[in-house]
Amino acid sequence: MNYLQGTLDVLILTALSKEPLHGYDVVDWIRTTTNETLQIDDGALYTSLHRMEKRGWLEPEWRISPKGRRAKYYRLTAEGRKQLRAGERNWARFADAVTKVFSAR
Amino acid sequence: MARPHDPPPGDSVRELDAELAFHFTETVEALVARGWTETDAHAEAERRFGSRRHYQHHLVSIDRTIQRRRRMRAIFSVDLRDAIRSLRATPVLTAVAIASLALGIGANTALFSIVNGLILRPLPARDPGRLALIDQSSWTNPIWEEIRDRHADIFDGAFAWSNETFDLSTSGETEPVDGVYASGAMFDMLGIAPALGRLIHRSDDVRGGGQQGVVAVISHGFWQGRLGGAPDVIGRRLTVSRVPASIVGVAPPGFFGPEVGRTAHILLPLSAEAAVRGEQSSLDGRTNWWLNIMVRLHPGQSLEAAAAELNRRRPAIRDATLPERYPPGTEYLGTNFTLTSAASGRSTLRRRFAEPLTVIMVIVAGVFLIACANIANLMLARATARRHEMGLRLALGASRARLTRQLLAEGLLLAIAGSLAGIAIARWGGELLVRQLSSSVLTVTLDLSLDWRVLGFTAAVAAVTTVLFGLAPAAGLAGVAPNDALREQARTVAGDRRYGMRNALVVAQVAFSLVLVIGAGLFVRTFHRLSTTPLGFKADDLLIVNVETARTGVTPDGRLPLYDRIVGAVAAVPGIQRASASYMTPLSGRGWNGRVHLTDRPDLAPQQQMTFINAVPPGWFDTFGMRLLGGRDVSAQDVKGAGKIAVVNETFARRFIGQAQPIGHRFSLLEPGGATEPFLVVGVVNDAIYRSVRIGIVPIMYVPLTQLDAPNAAFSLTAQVTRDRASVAAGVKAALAQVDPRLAFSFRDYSDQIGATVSQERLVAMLSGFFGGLALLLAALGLYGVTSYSVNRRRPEIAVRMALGADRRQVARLILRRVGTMVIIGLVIGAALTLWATRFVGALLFRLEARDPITIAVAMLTLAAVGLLAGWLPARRAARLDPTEVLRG
Repeated sequence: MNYLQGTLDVLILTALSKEPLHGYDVVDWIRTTTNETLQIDDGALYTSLHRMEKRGWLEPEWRISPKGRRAKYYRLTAEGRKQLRAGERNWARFADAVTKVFSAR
Repeated sequence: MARPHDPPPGDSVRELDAELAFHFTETVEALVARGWTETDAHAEAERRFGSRRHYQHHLVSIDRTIQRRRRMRAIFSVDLRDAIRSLRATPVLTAVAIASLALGIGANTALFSIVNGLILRPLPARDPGRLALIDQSSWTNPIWEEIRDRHADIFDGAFAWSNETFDLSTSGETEPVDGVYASGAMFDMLGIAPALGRLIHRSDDVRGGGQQGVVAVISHGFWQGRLGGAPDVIGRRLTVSRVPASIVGVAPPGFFGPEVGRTAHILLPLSAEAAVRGEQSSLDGRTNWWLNIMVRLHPGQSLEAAAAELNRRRPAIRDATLPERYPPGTEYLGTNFTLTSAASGRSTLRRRFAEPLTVIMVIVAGVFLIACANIANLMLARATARRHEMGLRLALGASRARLTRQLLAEGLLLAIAGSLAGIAIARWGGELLVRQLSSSVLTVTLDLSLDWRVLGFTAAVAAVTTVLFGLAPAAGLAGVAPNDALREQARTVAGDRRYGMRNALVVAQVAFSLVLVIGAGLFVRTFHRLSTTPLGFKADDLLIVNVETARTGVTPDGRLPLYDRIVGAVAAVPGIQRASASYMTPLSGRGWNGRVHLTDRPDLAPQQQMTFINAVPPGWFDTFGMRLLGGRDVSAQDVKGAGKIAVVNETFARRFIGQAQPIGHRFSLLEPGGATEPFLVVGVVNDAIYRSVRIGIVPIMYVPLTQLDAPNAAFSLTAQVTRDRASVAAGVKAALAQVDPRLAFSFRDYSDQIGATVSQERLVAMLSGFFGGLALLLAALGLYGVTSYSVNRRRPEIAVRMALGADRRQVARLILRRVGTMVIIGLVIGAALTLWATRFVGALLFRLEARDPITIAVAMLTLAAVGLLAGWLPARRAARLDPTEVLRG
């Protein structure tokens, strides 16, 4: 579960790595890029967003969206970026290990 | 920072609702755009979100934490960051504020650490709360032994000690070092463990010496400094006052003995006194009062109960120790013993300096208040200048609490920076002050280390300043309304209510500094009077050589011839004009006195009977530049059996002989056994100081050295010196070594000896003068600051006045009138305050009324002059204003 939670966090941090997004954009981006293969509740994504805000990885900011609505945007903080890099490294190591296991067969 | 689109701050639930509402709107819109019906899209959005109740519950609890942290951050980080930014925006003001605070807190903490070390800090001993002193006076060894041997059961234990200055030299000039004779139980009673070796035991303190002979315990500082911390120090021989002693142990660091303010570097058992002093030993002396006695109470025993029991046995102690020749009914042990708590040790220094230190503490606190008023004023000025900013921020939605918090944060930052620097200053200043407490005669050591009392004191001072600096501007903020700010910068006139507080602060400063300047004036004049009072003798070129002949083994009968040989040898040294021996030297801090019995009429009241005595050789008056007013000097013919004679001073003659012709008059002295053989007055000399300038002129009788029953082993040699001291001292050393290498002696310049008697007054004068000057400077700065600020604010008004025909002088007068009013109100309040405050300093003054009109008048004039100068500079600036330029701008 923790592992899954960590993966979810890395996904969200990746989504926010280019530019600040609001919650719906994050959900939409993950849904589109994974071709809806990941069955994750939108509620879980929001929980993850807020938890990372609490940890200081994300900084919220209220802005007007392009459609003219008030929306809560999330921006990566320096700490958030650090976590993203760490997450990517971990994932690469994990993937590497799994690949090695498969190729050793 | 508040942003225009934030949801109302502090409402995380509404923020979350807004965020989720946005999410659902967007989701449904996107689905509908892909062809879903409105109803299906809603259902799909709910499905994708998952259990709304479950997630919402989680989210709310996360958001609450976020909000709590955000609030804390607002206080600790955002406020502090803003405070730092805003303090850095005015670097000069901030630096001035921190420097004044550091000085103020530093001076206060330094003094407090001395008060703490001298008065408050408990003795570094086990359970010091149960320690008590038997009275404040001293006791004889027979009394101590009686209490130790027969009445120790009253207490949990008892010990006696005597402060001594030991001599570490092996020959010639002495090397004095502070030490004590300690009874065997002292270390045990105080619960002290050795740093090395062992401490003094009861078995060391027996008549005739313990098994190891004379043993010595040395202080940790002595071991580290003098002996270089040698690890093999135990068992080494040490010459203590020309007697070999063996070091048995080193006291722990921080142990200074039972006397606060003095460090005992060498500790000998009480019984070793007999070995050191030989036949002059006081161990069996029933009239030698030289010991202090400290007791440890039983757990739960009260001071009163212990004292009552001791007093019940007082008659027994009295009978067992009554000196011979004391007739029954004398006052020997005639009054009850009293016990006083000794939790913080015994200290002669404390008694001497408690009052001056309290006065200086009050002065320093006063200066600090003035400095605080100054800084508060600066901060107020700054706050006023920031009304625009504050008003704008209020208009943009910042809460008043938020702005107040920032102002408090600024005050806190200043206080913390000031306190840290202040503690550093205090450490340095405290050491400096302790050195000032010392004199050539007395080495003062005090434990000034920071303990919870000192740190608590500093923290309390810092807290008060924070509130002062933070809240004063915040109070000013109360008058700011959001729209106020936007029409600020308009014309202002003098009656502005907001100046009220700043003017009050300046008036208070003037009042306080008047009190301090008057105090400084009184103390400086006291010291001046003390040091310029005629002594009655010429001390300028006198060198004192204190000589101890005990080690030469000379018999009492041989002492006078030895004195003569010594004086003759010293007088022959090049650079010495005259030399005389005497028992006492004026202002040495020692005294010899007696009670005069009149043979021709009834005795005076007991407190009037006292005369001081000195034993002198022929020519002594010449050495001291004194004048014989009638009759003759003592002479070589005045020997034992030739009929006792005396030369008396004018005061003696006036008090005890009255109008009659003093020469040829007779009187005797009262002694416990009755009146002595009568003295014939053969001469009268001019009055001179004996004990101290403060005590003043006293009756003195001079007797010939040659008529003394048994001359002391120690005497003083006073020499008139015509060359530089160093070469003369070298010559005297050589001459004394020629006479007998076993002589022990020490040099002292008369000016040092006199200086030592006024060291306390010098300290008070120096500090009060310094802080009085500082108070004056701060008050002037405050006045200048407020006036020049108000001139700046009133530029438009002044320009209008000038345009309407006011000339430069009228403008200057306008400004000066305001300054004058503040100064006068301040002076009146200050004078009233002074009349009340001076009642506490009367005892510290010398030949000066506490309400001395000249001092008060001069102080008021000085303050008025300084005040006008501080006001004149801005007034001149106002008068030089160019109205057209101001009005056009």
